[in-house]
Formats: sequence, structure tokens, C-alpha cells
Amino acid sequence: MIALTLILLLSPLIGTLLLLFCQNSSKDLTILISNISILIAFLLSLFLLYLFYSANPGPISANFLTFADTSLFSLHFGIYIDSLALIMSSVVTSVSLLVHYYSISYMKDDTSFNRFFIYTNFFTFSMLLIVFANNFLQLFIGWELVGLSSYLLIGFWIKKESAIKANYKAFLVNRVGDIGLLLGLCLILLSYNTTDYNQIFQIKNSINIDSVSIFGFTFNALSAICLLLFIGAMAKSAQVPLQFWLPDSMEGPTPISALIHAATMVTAGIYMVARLSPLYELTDGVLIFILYVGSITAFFLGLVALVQNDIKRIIAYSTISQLGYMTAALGASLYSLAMFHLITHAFFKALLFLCAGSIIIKCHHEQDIRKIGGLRKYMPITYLAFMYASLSLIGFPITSGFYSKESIIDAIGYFGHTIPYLMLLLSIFTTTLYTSKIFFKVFFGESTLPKEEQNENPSNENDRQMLLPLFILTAPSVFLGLFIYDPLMIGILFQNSLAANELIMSFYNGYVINSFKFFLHSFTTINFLILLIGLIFSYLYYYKKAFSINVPHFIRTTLTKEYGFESLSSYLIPKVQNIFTKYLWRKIDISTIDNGLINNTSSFINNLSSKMKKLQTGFIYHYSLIIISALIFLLILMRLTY
Amino acid sequence: MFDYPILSTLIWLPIFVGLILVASNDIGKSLSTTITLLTTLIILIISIKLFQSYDHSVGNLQFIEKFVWISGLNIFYYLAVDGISVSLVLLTSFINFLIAIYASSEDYNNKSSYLGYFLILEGLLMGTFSAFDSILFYIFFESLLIPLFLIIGIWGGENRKYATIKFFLYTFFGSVLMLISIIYLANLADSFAIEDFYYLTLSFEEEIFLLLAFLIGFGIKVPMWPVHTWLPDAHVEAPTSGSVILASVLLKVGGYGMIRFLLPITTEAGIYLSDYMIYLSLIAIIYISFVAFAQEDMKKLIAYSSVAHMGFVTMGIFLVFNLMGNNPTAAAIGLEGAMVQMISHGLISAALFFCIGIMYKHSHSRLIKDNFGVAQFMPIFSFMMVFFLMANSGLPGTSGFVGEFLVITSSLGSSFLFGFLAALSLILSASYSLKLGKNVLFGDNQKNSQGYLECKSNEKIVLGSLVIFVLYLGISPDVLFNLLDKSVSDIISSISLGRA
Repeated sequence: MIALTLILLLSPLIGTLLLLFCQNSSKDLTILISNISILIAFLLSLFLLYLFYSANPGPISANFLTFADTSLFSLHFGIYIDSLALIMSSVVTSVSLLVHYYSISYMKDDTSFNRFFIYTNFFTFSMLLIVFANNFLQLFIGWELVGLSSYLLIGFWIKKESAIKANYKAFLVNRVGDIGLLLGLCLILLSYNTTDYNQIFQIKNSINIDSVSIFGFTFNALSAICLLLFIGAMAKSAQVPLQFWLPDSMEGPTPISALIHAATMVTAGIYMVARLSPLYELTDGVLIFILYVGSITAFFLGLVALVQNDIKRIIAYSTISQLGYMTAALGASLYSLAMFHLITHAFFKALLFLCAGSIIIKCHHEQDIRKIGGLRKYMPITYLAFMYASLSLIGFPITSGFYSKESIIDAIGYFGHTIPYLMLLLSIFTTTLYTSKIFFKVFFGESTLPKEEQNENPSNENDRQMLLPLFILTAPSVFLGLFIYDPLMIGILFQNSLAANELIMSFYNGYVINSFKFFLHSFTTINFLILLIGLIFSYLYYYKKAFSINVPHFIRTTLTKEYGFESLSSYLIPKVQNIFTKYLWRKIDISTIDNGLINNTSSFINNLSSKMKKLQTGFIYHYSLIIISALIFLLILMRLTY
Repeated sequence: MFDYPILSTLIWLPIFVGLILVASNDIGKSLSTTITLLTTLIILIISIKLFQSYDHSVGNLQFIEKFVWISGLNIFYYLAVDGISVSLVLLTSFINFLIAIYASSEDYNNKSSYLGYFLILEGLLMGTFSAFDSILFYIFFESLLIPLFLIIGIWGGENRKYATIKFFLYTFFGSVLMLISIIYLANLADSFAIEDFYYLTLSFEEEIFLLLAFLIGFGIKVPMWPVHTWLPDAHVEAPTSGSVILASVLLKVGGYGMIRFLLPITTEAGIYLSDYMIYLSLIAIIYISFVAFAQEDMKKLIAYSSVAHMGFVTMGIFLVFNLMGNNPTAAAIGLEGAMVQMISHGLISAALFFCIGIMYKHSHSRLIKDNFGVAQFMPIFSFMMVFFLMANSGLPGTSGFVGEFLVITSSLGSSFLFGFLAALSLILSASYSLKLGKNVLFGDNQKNSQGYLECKSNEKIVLGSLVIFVLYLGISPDVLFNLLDKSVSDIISSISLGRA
């Protein structure tokens, strides 16, 4: 199993290297290498999953490469195989495979075809590095490498000014979180003398350090570590206040938005906290913090989506909001529910983005939904796929999204976290609104396609290669939840990978009973009522245009400006940084230190020596005068002292 | 097998060949290129042999050559290496070999003298890293200035006079203080051997004065804030290879000197002053990063970034003082971090100066605003430059990460604030490194008025081999740790010995 996992992990990397050395070869070879390497990884994931559940060997951990082995510390690259890692890797590789296949057609006219697949293969490798990490160092390395791939892919179109700005911003914001993660990693090495998961899970409480004082607040070592690590997760999983890089990241090619900025990379933070759940369970206060960060993100960033008009940006804000749900679930110790929503979200969100890509291609790279309309007739497959994905996103009963999202909301309510519960509940309404907004505006109303294309046969919708992934993704988006719900809730799916299983069990036995009853019960809940109101409201407002609402200008601006984050990140910080750094350079470095201290010293000596020079007149009578006067002075001095 | 004096060969062979090249006064470009390539290759091979036959299961001094030099004064011709020296010797010979490859396609006035001075510089650097008699060390240390002074002064840019004089006086000022300290110590110890200084019992006041003298002497070389202002000027005026050797190896002499002199000799004073010295390093890391962000000249940007990265080196060294008493493990981690950072910065800064040199050849401007859209015309070059910029910002998987990671780990053992402030470098270094990439490599450049052209094969070899080593040390730095581990713990224990 270890050998197979190693092949699974390295296959995308080998693909990357092969592509790197076949820069100038044909497109077919590029397609072949990139897709086969991901296909291998995907098939191996499924096979290992099967092996793991049939043999059930328990978690396996093994090292395969030494990073450093000294008298002070020993660090390795390794793999950690358990149900959580394998499920996550199946999700990552399946979405990745479909996106790769989809991209063949989406990117077919791009001059940097090869470079695109180098990046995507490398991204898949980096993500798997995180998924299979058996120690914190490898986690951190993978973490930064996915950041790098995301940086490269957002800026894939190197001539596009806005893309270059967006990837710079994305990398820096992620780096803010990485500070937290790095400090956590360093603190782990210092407190445990190891970074290995297994050893730390056994030791649990720090052996070298009791407490850490962070800016005057004292934490016990474990809480400090978990808090710092979570800051890393906040940046990568776009939680308030480090969320503002994600909408801009949509400057990259759309398949990338599907793969990285919706389905996989952004969930790395959720995965990490779930992976470390045995540690998070022992902290105090950190989980409450996580719960509130998650609910605030879910509610407030969902609202921002309402005022956006770019199709990709709306879906991006909805991603942030959904990540908020997962984070909230983590904060309530409902780790397996967070993972569940992660999985279903990965599928339906990837589907939404791929549909968006299909729409964008059809509309010749138009992304403003006010300028798109009436596509239902011309894109029947995209229309249906988009509809199913939307139903899943808003949590319409029986879809995958329904099971994962409703369970999170109900469980948080069940365990009495009132304020987060209310925020998540209200978010159902906003989710419904912005999802329907895209749906009605894009697929209904007047067609905006050019006349000659309107007469085309609907079967010419787009390349087959782009439509097939839509078909395939629709299945898990709708049905996956129903299939895995019961095994997940009673702990068969994740076995002992996640902590606090008993919490989920008590919720299951006390509230859910089984998946079918949960489905029936849902029609009587307030969640469904809100959903229904939302649907009716948006039907009337967006489709029938039965009434209009005047949103106060103040609120609209606040939302468009993303509560000020927009101006902060694109105006205030760059401006201040420019002025401040220029000031430091010119005033302090050049004026004060260099001219003031250094050059002044030299000019002082210069002046002094030019004055001293005047003493050397060269006239013998000047010298004799000085000699005689000095002699007289000395004689008087001697006379006075003796 | 090693019946010849390996260290003396490393020192005197390049100096000898270099002198011949300088004296022969322009013997033709291709001949001098070939001679230089051969010599640097031989030196590289010998250094690798040195590395292979160095026994790193023990950390003591090896390959000792010790002869009486000036008997009346107890001065010896005393050469030896430990793991720390070996790593720097390897860096020196590797970088010089790359410079020789890079120079093979370049055209200079009087190329043989130009290359000759580089060979002399290489020999002197080898001497600095392997001399264990303080006077011998001082002589090598001082002589380093001469060839570099000439390289910048003869082949430099427009404002080279100002830069060379500033560079010379600045660093010479520090060295004089150092010479006084060495003579003072030798007087007490009745010997000029460095390790004899370690066993002296000095009063606290004596230690403070010695510490300050050494700190100024080596601090200017490193350079530490606030005595760093010679570096940007020197870099801007130096020819590409001059900048490379300056940033990559010459700066390390300062850090090396601190490890050899400052740590073991002035321990008590160091413990007393360590907080202030760490603050100086933190200022270098944070403040200089801000200054780097404001730069409009690419070379100045990398020069300032060098100062910031060397801040991690000095921080790692001074953390040893801070942690000696209560956490010797963290202290050793800090020192290893400092060493790894030196080697890694040696590779990365060299690579970035090569990159800037290559772009300059096309655009004839070092200003950021004059260079844009390079990636469209030089894709392979840009790929590698993005890699080096990422390494410069400490991306894991490259060597740039390892040193910073260890220094930050060590600093957390002292206080969370130190670690946090040092970790800010993660954002700051990324912001100026990627800003350079963003403005220079990317963007739309339709006319290509700069005339960018994909780099030549020898330039690809230079950059490519740097990519390989930066990656190798980033993924599996174990080989470096093996080399350093015992020597570092020896130093740590000799410090404790000095205290007891």
C-alpha cells in the first residue's frame, strides 16, 4: 500500500517533469502526459480506498525521503494513509482529472497550452503532498507549493494587467496566513522535538514548553500552536478577514477557478483542521473562535455576492460563504460534517464553475450576467447541469448539498450555538437569492447571442470534451450525499481519523435517525421555509420582475466595496506602502544614515585636513616661530609646576 | 592519496594563475578564458575532494598545515578546516566556476586581467575560510579588498570612483579595529592561533570592548544595519560578476568571522548585549525589506534584499548568546540556521545578480521601469528568474526556506515576539521579490525595443546549475546538515567551556 500511495503521489510530479522537458512537442503529447498522470493518480486513489476498506489496516505512516537528520532534529517526507487521506485524495484527483479533460478543449487556442498543464499537474502534486503528509513540515511545504501554483495560474495570462495584479495580491495574502502556519510549525518543532503527526498525537501536550505569550495573552503551548495553524487555514480557506484575495483570483482561466479556487486548494485549511482534530479537541477557546469566524464569513460574504454582476465573482463569493459553513462545523467539533460538506461542495462547485466556463466560451468571454441572457435554448446540457448544481448549492432536499449543509446547520442548532445558528440559517436565504440570480439572468429572458449563432443547432452547444465533465459531475452533485450520509454519520466512513465522533453520533441518534427520515423531516423545518421563501422571492424578483427594491445606496456601496476590504487591499495598502517605503529609503537610509553619518564624517575629515594643511606653509620662519613659541610655553609651564 | 597540501593548493594555485594572467597583460580573450575555466574547474574538483575526504563524524579541525612563519612573534602559517569552513570553501569554488562560465561569452577590455583578479580573489577567499592563525586570517581578510577594489574601479559603472572609495574606506575602518583586538588578544594569549584565544579569561569590560570592535569589523562586512550603506553603491557600480562574488561569498566572510571570533571569545559580553544585537538584526530584516521595496534600480533591490537576508544570519548567530543558558538545543538550531542561510543566500543572490546582468545586456538599463515584458521573449530565462525570486522569498522546497525556518524556530525559544518579527519577512520578502518579477518579467511588451533575446547556452548552464542546487538544498539539505552538525555542536560546547 505504501508503494502504491507513493506512485499515486509522485505520478503528477513525474507528469510535470515530463511536460517540462517536452516544451516544444505536440499538443497531443502534452494532453496525453498530463491526463494520464492524473488518471493514474485517480485510479490508484479509488483502488487504495477499496483496499483500505476491505483490509482495514488502520492508519499507516511511513517516511520515504530524509529532509534533515541531525543530532538536533530529524525531519522527513512521508506518507500517512488513512480513510480521511484517501477520501480527500479521491476527491482531489477526480475533480482534477475532469478539469484536465475539460481544459483540453477550453485552452485549445492558447499559445501556452503546455505551460498550463505543467502548472495544473504541479498543483495536483502539491495538493496531494498536503493530503498525504505525515508531518507538519511536509504540510507546510505542500501548503506553500499550492500557493505557488495558484500564483502561477492566476497570472497565467502574463500580458493581462489585472491578472498580474491579482496573483501578486493572492500570494501576499496567503503569505499572511503562512506566517501563522510557519510559527505554528516552528513552535511544534521546538515543543515536541518532532513534527511527526503520529508522535504528536500520542504525546499531545508539549514536552518542552508550557505556555506561550502572544502579545500579552498567555496560551498553553497546544492552544497557541492550534491558533497559529488556524490563521494559516484562514488565509488559504478565505475566511474573514483574509478572504479578499479569492474573488480577484478569478482572473485566471475558468477551469483553474473550478479546480483550485473552488474545489480543492481552498479546502486545504478545512482538511488541515480536520486532520489535526485530535489536537484541536484539547485546546480551549480556539474552537469557539473558529466557530465564529466561520459563521461570520458564511453570512457576511454571502451578502456581498448579491451585489456582484460578474458570474465568476458571484460563484467565488458563494465559495467563501460555503467555506464559512465548513469552518463553522469545525468550530463546533463536527469534523466529519465539515469534511462531508467539503466533499459535496467540491463536486457541485466544480460543476458550477465548469458550467460558467462553458457559458463564458459560448458568449465569447463575456462574464457580466447583465449582458448574458436566454441561453436555455442554446445550451441545454449546461442549463440542466447548472440547475442541478444550483439546487445542490442552495440545499434543496435530497441533493448532496442538502445533506451536508442542512446537517451542519441543524447540528449547530442542536448543540445550542444560538448566534452562529441564526447566521447560518439566514445565509440560506442569501444563497438562494444569488444562485437564482445567475440562473434566471443567464438562462432566461432575451437571448444575447449574435443572430447567426441563434439559428445554430442546440447540439452545437460546445465541444463534447467540455460537456462530458458536466455530465459526470452532475451525478455526485446530486446523489453522493444520499449514498454516503448514513455511513458517514455513524462513523464508518472516516473511522477513527477524526476526533469527537460521539458528538456526531448523538446528533444522529437524537435528531437525524436515518437519511430518509432526515429528508422527510426537512420539509417541516424552518430551513425549508426560508429556502422556499427565497425561491419564490427570487422567482418574482429576478424572473417575473414583479417588483423592484431600492437598496439604500449606503448598503449597496458597503457590499460592493466588500466592507472596505476592497479599498483596503487595492488602494490603501499599496499607497501607504509606497509612501512609507519611499520615506524610509530617502529620508532615513539616504539622508540620515548615508549622508548624515557616513558622508558627513568623510567631509568633516576633509574639512579638517584642509584646515590642517594650512599649517604646512613651507616657510622656514613660520616653523621657527612655532618652535620658539612652543619652547617658551613649555619653559613657562615647567617653571610654574616646579 | 592526499600527499599534497590540499588547502595550500586551494589558496595559492588560483592566486598564482591569477597573477600570471594579470601580468601577461591581455594575452587574448579565448586563451585567458580557457585558463580561467580550467583553473576554477580544478579548484572545484579539489574542493569536492576536500568535502568527500572530510570526516564529518567528528567536528574538529582537519587537513591541518602548520609551519612557523615569524618565529619571534609566534605567528604560524596555520591552515585547517572544519565543517563550517568546508561548506564555505565549496560555495566559493562553485560560484567562481560559474563566474568563469558566465564570463566565457562576455567581452571586456583587457579580459585576462579581469579574470586574473577574480582568480586572485578566489584564492584569498579560500585563505580567509581556512586560516586559523589570526594574523594570517587578517592578511587574507584585508587583501580581499584589493582585487575587488580593482574590479569595481576598472570595470565598474559611471560612478565607480565614489563607490570604490566608499567601499574601501568603510570596510577598512572596521578591519583596523579588528586588528587592534587581535593584537590585544595575542598579547594576552602569547599566541596568534585563534583557538588559543578561546581559553583566555577576560574581564567583562575587556570583553565588551573586544565585542564592539569585532562587531563593527565584521558587521560592516555582513553588512549589518546601520553600516550597510556601502553595499548598494558598490553593487550598482560593480560589473555583473563582481556583484555576484560580492553578494554571494564576500558578505559571508563577515558571518564567518562572527562565528570564529565573536561567539567563542566574547561570550559573557555577548550574553549581556544579545538583545540589542538581535534588535539590530530584526531592523535589518524588517526595515531593510521596506527599503528594498522602494527601490527603482534592480541591482539596488537585490542588494538591499541581501542585507535583509543576512539579517537572518546575524540573528541566528546572536540567538546563540541569548539561548546558551537555558536552551542549548535551540541555540544550536539557530547557528545551523545561520550557516544554511549563508550558503543558500550565496546561491540565490548570485543567481539573481546573474539574471539582472543578462537583462542588462539587452536593455542597457538596470531601472525597473525600463525593463518589462521579458517573459514573452525569454521564457526559459523568466522561468528560472521566477524560481529564484520565489527562492529569495523563502519558498519551501528551495534552500531559501531552510535557513529562515531554523532561525525562526530558534528565535521562538527566546521569545514569541522575535519569532513573529522575523517571520514578517515571509510577506516582506515576497512583496519586493514578486514586485520585481511582476514589473520586469510580466506585462505586455509588443515592440521589444530592449531587444530581449533568449539567453545563451553558457548562461543557461549557469542559471540551470544554480536551480539544481537551490532545489537540492531545499528538498534534502541533509548533506549540508551532516557537514555542519558536529562542528556546530563543537562550537556550542566550546562556548560553554569558555564560560565554565
